[in-house]
Amino acid sequence: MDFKRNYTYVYRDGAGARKRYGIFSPGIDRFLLVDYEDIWATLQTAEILSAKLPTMVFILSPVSKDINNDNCLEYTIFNKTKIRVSNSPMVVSRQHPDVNFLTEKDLITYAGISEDYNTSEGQAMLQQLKDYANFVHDMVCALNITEIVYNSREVANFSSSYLKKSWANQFTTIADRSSLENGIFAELRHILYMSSTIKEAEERIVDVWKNNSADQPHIMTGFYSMLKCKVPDELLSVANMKPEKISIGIF
Amino acid sequence: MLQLDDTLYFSSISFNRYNDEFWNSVYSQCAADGKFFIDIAKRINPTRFVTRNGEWSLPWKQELIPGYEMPVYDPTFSKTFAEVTDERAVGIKLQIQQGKKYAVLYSGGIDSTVVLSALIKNLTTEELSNIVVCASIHSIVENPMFWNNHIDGKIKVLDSNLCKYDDLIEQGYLPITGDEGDCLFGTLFGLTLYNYFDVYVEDLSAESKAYLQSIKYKISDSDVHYSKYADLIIKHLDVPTNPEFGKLLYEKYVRNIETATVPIHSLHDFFWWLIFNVKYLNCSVRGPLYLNDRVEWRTAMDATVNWFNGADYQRWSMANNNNGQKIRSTLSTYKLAAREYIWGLDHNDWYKNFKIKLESLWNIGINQNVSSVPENRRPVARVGLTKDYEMLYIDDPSVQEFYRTHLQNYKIDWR
Repeated sequence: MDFKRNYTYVYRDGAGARKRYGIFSPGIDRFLLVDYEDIWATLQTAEILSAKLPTMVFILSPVSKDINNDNCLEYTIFNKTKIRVSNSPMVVSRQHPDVNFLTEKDLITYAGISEDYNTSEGQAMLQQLKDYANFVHDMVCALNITEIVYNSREVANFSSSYLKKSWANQFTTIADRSSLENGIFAELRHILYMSSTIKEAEERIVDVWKNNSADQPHIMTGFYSMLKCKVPDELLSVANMKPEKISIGIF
Repeated sequence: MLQLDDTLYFSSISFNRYNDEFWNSVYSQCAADGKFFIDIAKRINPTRFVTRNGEWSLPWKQELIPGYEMPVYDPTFSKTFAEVTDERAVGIKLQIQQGKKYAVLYSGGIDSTVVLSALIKNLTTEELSNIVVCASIHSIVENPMFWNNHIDGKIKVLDSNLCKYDDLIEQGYLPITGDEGDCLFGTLFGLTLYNYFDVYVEDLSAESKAYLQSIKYKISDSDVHYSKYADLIIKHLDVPTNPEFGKLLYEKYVRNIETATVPIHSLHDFFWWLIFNVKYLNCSVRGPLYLNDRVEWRTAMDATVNWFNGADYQRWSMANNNNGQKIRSTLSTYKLAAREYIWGLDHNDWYKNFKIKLESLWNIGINQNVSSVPENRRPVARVGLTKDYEMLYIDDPSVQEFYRTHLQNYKIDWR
């Protein structure tokens, strides 16, 4: 099979310049977040934020230099006439996000604060959204890396990707060693999806770690090390708990 | 109640979070010699060594459990690995004809794939219906081709996460384990040294470094004695808290080798001997002792078929050092005779050429749900077995006193 690697344009342009990824809100008509590293994490963040508002992910052209993660709430896509999801115009397409390329022709322009939010109350709402988006993105990135670094032994995800369902169905497959139905990472992402504020999310995250880390404290400590922050005081005792349901160090 | 002068059949020092507090407290109460013995478990965790041949002092009295003795070394032993394996399978075939049912503990690794290959090769379809494969999702991941071609839809499957030794025995199956495969071929502990070779030689003198690099791939050459690698072995054995530890343990191993009746030449021989001799019992009995909560310990051990524990397998192992059957130069050819046996059935070049040794047993141990067992009777609390086949638990004061006293009185006797 002879092929060209078009997929590399997700990461770099033809001149080798690094691309960035933006989360766009069709309703506000502005970008909520600009990521510099990881399209997959950006998509997950957009998915989680879609509990609050419809989102789209765009692969930004490197020429869009003015926009960044600090000012993106004031930037929009100038010409959206060709951007469609299936047959629908993006703005009315759907709640959960899709991924699209933006080229140089799809100019990203400064537009200021969206008119309906250009009040002190509206700007506060936007700032709350922006803060939550940044928070979710940090959590998503830390969770993703924690999952692949500290929970690499479990094969539930691997199994669902590569093995026949009939094979996997014969066995107990666990996402991790918590007692949570879909594993601790799914639970934490669900919390981010369902929480209304950063404070609420932070408290619920601590609660999940506290009640599900006895047999896997290294995952909890790994998560906080990925954020380069101290393990919260209420979780310090969890880090040294004896295993509850499993046997370690017996072989 | 355990008495100080009792003789054990099995002992275990393990740092597993449950026991750490006790072993650390004993450590602080011991002189250097006792500390050395506990340090072994910090490097080779868990430590459950007992000799089958040659000197190997323990802090307490311990004897070998009957059935796990080492056969006499016979340099003229000429059966091939394949011949011994086929004979082993025929032995099971005869037992099936007598009405026995077996559960093969299958990880997808080389040892258990040898077991299953031999049974598939030597048993009729009807006889195979008396075999179940006890596996996990990890077993498929380790060898998906074998699963697809030889197990799926052909042999009944049980979930090893739900079937420990007690479950299998209570269902009328005799568990077959290949857990002693490493004992025949050499230890993972050695494989990791070969893998770390370049780092270990890095800070040696230029002369030593050049010499060791020249023999890097002669790990299984009978003309290159293991003592040539002494600096590396010592470095590999070291623990950070005790600068003398690596050398002391190396000397203890050497004493054992020099007082044994089996010739040990190469570096691979050195590590093979450790697991074939002092670690052999652990590999033989850890399944029925740690993956079993209900069946009496002796009954479970007697019911378990240690596939590679046959006398001929052990004779084969002693007579086939340094001829390429166990390893050539790197871990890619580890267990070559077993790889070739499997290939004879599945013709899977990928598996033969690229499979490596994995710590498969860990996957089973870590996923066993022990929440129905009282905390102080769980596997993590089990630290020994008396000659009456009574399990010793770490929370028992007499057990604590036994270990504390003997470790405090332990004397290094090989210097």
